[in-house]
Amino acid sequence: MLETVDFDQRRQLIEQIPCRVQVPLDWEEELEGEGYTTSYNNEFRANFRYRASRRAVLQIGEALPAFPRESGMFGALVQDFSRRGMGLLYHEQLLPEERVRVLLPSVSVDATVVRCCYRGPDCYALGLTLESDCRLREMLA
Amino acid sequence: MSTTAESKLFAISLATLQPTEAVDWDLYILPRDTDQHILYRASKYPFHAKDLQRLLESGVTKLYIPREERASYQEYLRENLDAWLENSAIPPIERMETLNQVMRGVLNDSFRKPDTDKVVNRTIQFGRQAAAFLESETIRFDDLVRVLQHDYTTFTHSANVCYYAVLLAKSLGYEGDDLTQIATGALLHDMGKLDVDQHLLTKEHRLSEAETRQMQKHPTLGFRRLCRQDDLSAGQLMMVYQHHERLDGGGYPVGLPDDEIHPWAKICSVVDVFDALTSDRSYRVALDYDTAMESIERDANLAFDAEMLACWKQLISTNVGS
Repeated sequence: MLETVDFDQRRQLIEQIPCRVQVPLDWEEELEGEGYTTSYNNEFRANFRYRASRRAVLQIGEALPAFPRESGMFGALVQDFSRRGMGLLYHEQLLPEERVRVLLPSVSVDATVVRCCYRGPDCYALGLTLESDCRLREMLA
Repeated sequence: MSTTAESKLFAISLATLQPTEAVDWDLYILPRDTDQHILYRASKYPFHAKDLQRLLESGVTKLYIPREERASYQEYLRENLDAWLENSAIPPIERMETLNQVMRGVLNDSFRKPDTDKVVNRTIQFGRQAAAFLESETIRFDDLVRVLQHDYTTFTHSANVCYYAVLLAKSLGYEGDDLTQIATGALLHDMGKLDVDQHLLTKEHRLSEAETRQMQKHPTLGFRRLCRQDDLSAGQLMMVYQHHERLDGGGYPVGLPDDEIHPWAKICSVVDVFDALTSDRSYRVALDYDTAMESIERDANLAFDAEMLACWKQLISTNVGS
């Protein structure tokens, strides 16, 4: 769900919440640059991805019955996003079907985890499906 | 007396019949040196203990029922399974055979029209029965393997992985409720294959890159199906999600390192591969145990926990049980 909120307040919040992600050295390159990324035939992506590294805050929504989660807000690093998806780095493993809310300065987006890959200690690459379309302009603000 | 075509009949183990009650189906017998089944007992007629004894004394181990009664027979077995498993007058391996027959029948039906709630309920019941039985009885591993099927259909494989996982977990020191949970987790470990294109599961040739990626989704698909079930524990769900992870981080779907893989998933991983290698596949025949173990041991500490492998190797070469 996209919301209109106080931009400055949210940006401040995002800056204040520590991000515990440890980006591996060979992954730092992945966070550089900005713009549309090449989509490979074997990725079967429905929408273009836009690469744009951003600090964000992640809130865990309703936990899965067997996996209770600590509530609160945690820092994360957005890697890229598309109209209905988002890739971000997080400090711990999240599981498929877990619901999260991602806060960016201009929007908050509800999403579901669809995949999670280990990149290194305190670094997991999450693939999220957004519950509503996101607009590039809002995500980049 | 009447005869009937073999294709219309279904073999049942004599050990599965409770004496002193009238069974619901016509029972047929195949007399020695003939290929003609004859009616032994019409439905609703009493089947006493002395009848059973007489059959056993004359060397009969199987009777036959009309194929269309299969569902009713499965139901009968399910209802009487606890009593059978606890009946110490029947040799353990025969009870094991009955358990396997019932479990495969139910899993086959359940996996064809997967209603997740029903599958979970049934696997919890069978997990409890299989764990309790294998925890309390002594069965030689080669006897166990003889009564199992090795055709690698998803339901057969799930049942085999369940028994193997309980045996390995028991050897590693697990007991009681942990064994029950491990048994159920093992029964469900490949649930995600029900959401994979079925022709990939039986393809005779090497899978393409895209097909391999499809197949590799099954742990995640299984987890997604099951993760909201209140009666499954984290360990059981990790058996579904992590059974293709490798200790060296080269597995899927997450690529987790050793210390982040759940120990029950590591157990599942060892016995899953063992059953896969020792079963007939669409593209090769089953390997013998030694060759299968040699192949698995090459991946000790890379894919598989070395201590678990050593325990499994010892287990398959000796008697198992209490």
